[in-house]
Amino acid sequence: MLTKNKPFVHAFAIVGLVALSACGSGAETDAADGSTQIDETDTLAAALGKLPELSTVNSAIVTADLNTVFDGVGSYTLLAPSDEAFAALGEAGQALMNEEQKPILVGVLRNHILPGYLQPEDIAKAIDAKGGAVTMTTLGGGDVTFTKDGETITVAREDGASAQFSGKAVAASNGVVIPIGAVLQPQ
Amino acid sequence: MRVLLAGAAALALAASGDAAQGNGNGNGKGNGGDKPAAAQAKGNGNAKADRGPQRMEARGNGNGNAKAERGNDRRPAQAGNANRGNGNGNGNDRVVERRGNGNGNGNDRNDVRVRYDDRGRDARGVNVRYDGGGFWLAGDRERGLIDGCPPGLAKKRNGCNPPGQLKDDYRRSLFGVDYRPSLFGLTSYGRGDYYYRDGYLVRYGNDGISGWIPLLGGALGVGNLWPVGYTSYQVPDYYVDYYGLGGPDRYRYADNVIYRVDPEDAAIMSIAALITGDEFAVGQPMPRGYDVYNVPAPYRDRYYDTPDAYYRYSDGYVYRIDPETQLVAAAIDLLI
Repeated sequence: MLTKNKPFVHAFAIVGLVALSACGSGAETDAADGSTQIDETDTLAAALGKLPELSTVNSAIVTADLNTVFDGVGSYTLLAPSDEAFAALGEAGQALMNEEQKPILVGVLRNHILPGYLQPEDIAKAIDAKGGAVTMTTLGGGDVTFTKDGETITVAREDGASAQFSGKAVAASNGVVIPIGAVLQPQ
Repeated sequence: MRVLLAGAAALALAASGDAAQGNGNGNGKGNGGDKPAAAQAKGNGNAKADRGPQRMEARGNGNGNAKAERGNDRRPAQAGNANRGNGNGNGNDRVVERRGNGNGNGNDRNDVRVRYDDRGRDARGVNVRYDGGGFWLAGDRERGLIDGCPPGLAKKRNGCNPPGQLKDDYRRSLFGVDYRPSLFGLTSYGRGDYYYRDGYLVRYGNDGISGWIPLLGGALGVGNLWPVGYTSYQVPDYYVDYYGLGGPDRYRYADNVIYRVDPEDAAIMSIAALITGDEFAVGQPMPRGYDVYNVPAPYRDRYYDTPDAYYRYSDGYVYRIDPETQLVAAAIDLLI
């Protein structure tokens, strides 16, 4: 678990009081409505497990044996399709959870994982700064682009699959969970 | 993983290490046992692998991999290691910015020193000119299908049948699209007619399956033995430290995934990390696909974008980027 993770432990030592104050007493802190919820006491895997509306993707992560990745030192951002999003896949969504389909499940999930720690606010800021779409490469090797219409951020794959951000993001100690309203399934 | 930097001087690979040699002979010996997927590779010699046992052992990883902590090195090398040449790259100077003695913000502290070298010895703190290449990444990119029928299927009756006897299910995924490497997060393989069979992506020749790729979650699932013939590259020492991997017999790296394995039989115990494999080289353009600030939480107070410097995270490093030129100005390791 992260508490055993030296790099992060040292990092907290380095940043000193600033980081400590950010962690506060270890309790979760809620930012203003619409902004990312900070929960640096949990790893990404643990934080994801606490989000009831994301239980399907959490199960998928566990099934795919990727939970150890989200419990580790590496930093990742998960674009997490909601339970409704998985339900909308119908039979394909159910089949995706079968043992024999696990490699495909892993592939789908990798296309929802970004390197590093991206809060929606960071993405919005980047879009504003650039004046248009911004691109990140997923851990599946493909690109996703982010666009913003008003306050709504949309993520799209190169093949056209897209989803809107839905719900409050949660920032854990080693990554961020950003709920999205659809599965970015391959086209 | 995209290749944006010709010559692949791997950048970040302050420690590219042992991998830069890559002279292993990849001798494998089948030993399937009862475990699924492939037999175990035994006894291949890679002289560069013996860079001292487990000096990173104390780090641990905290992921509950108790097996990873026991025993000493019993096998000096990784399975099926690299017979792809010696990996001498361009040797770009790598600028490593050390944390802990400054604000790390554009103050020309760039030393041409690395804390981890690529010679397989502990050279932390020594000034070393980085003259290695990103062999582990370069080699990984040059992968091809493994010849023949995968061991897991070869054991099955008709497991290696030619295409004419195949069901359409083997050709199209449940999403209705043809199977292809990119569906599985694989970026190093060419196009072609691929089929999915029991945890492998395969292609067919006239006599049945002619080549195969083991898949994460399938043949490369937790509990399976590392497939014979599937080349694993040792990662730079920095990554061994950063991800708490232990000795070279305790992990495998292939196709942008780092696995923890049982040192005794190379059974996959867990997935340690997914990596981008993107190459950041100081003085070279930042790879595309990093438009958004993504520095991990513990470092955000220290490395934040300013008009003079952007910071981006990738595979265990934070990189300082010149906003105007988009060139990589420094690589900052995240270990003390």
